[in-house]
Amino acid sequence: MMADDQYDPNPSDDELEAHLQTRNMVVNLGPSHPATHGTVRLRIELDGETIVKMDPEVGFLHRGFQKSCENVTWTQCLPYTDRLDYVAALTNNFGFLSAVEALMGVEIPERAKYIRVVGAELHRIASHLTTVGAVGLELGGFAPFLYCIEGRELITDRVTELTGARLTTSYGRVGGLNRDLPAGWEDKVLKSLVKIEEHLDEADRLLTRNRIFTDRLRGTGDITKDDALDFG
Amino acid sequence: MSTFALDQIHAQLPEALVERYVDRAGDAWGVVKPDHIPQVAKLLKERLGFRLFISMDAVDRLHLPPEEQDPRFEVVYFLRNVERGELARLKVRVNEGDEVHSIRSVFQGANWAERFVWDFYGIPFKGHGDLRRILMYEEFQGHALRKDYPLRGRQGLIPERPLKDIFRGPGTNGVAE
Repeated sequence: MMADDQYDPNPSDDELEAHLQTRNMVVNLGPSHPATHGTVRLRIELDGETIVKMDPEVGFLHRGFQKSCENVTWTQCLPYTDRLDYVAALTNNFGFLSAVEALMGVEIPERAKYIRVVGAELHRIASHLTTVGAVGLELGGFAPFLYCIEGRELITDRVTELTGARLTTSYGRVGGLNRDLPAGWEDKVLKSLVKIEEHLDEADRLLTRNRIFTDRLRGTGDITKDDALDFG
Repeated sequence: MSTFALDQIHAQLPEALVERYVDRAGDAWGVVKPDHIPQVAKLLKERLGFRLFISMDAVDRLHLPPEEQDPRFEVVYFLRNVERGELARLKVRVNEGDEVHSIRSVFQGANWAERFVWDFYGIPFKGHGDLRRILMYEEFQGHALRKDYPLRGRQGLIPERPLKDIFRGPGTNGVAE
């Protein structure tokens, strides 16, 4: 038996696979870090590469929208809601408008309801495409990101035709919408959706059955159903 | 509109419920005593299936008509029963400085929500255990979403925190403190 600090020219098999002795280490990630998309500071306690404990500090992007909205009129709140989620502004526009309409007891026209659903769904697809693409990007796969963004770009173009803005839509007004669909918009949307489906297939083939992708993600950050409900 | 949640609270914990009413959008609300909210949350979660914590917020009623100003604050809770598709709307009314009992031990999601309410309205939660500000920095004075906090309230720069907090200290890897 040799002392621990002595060099052993013939290590046993056990020793080759022995767990490396490490101490937990505290690392500060952020507030500004290339691996985070926004500004967030994470105080992380690490055991090797596994996070044992994390204390996030999240207020860096807080802009006080609630306070701003309290001090303007109800219609003037609408542009603030664009900026809550910059990849799905329509969803937030319509969420705010529905709440105001519920308070007023106003029923909006049926056509406006349908257009709102179509708009919100388009932006939901755009938002999901961005997420899927970005996950691939984080793992070093650039190609699926390009296909997803290509799809998102089609939606952004359609949203631009509908609302006049790429991201900050401010579409809809309390009681309905500020304008009807542009001429021929429906056909353009249907055609775009076919194209998006093709792009999605490409991304799907690049990611879903990709060993690197699944090995990295399966079992990472598991949340039980109870925990998910509990955290809300 | 289903009032299953409020009916059950009324039947099983009658002393907890102060008031029931229906708001102008037609939704049912229950006003709960500040020290009974953990029991009510527990009843809703464990016996009635309201297991999804939706959100919590507060309302400062400072500029409402005088009869609605006392107590000044309302803490609102939204819990959902996923199977029944029902949303339970609860609120607790407190005055400046009064404590609300924390429901963090019942719903883990309440941890950050209660920190938010404390940060922006200054309502303390008893038994939370880790009630720090969440979005504002700890040196911030006052509570920004109170109606008497000025819209353009500016506060001076704070002194830089010591380097020891930011980088790993020598020798201990920052753990032993």
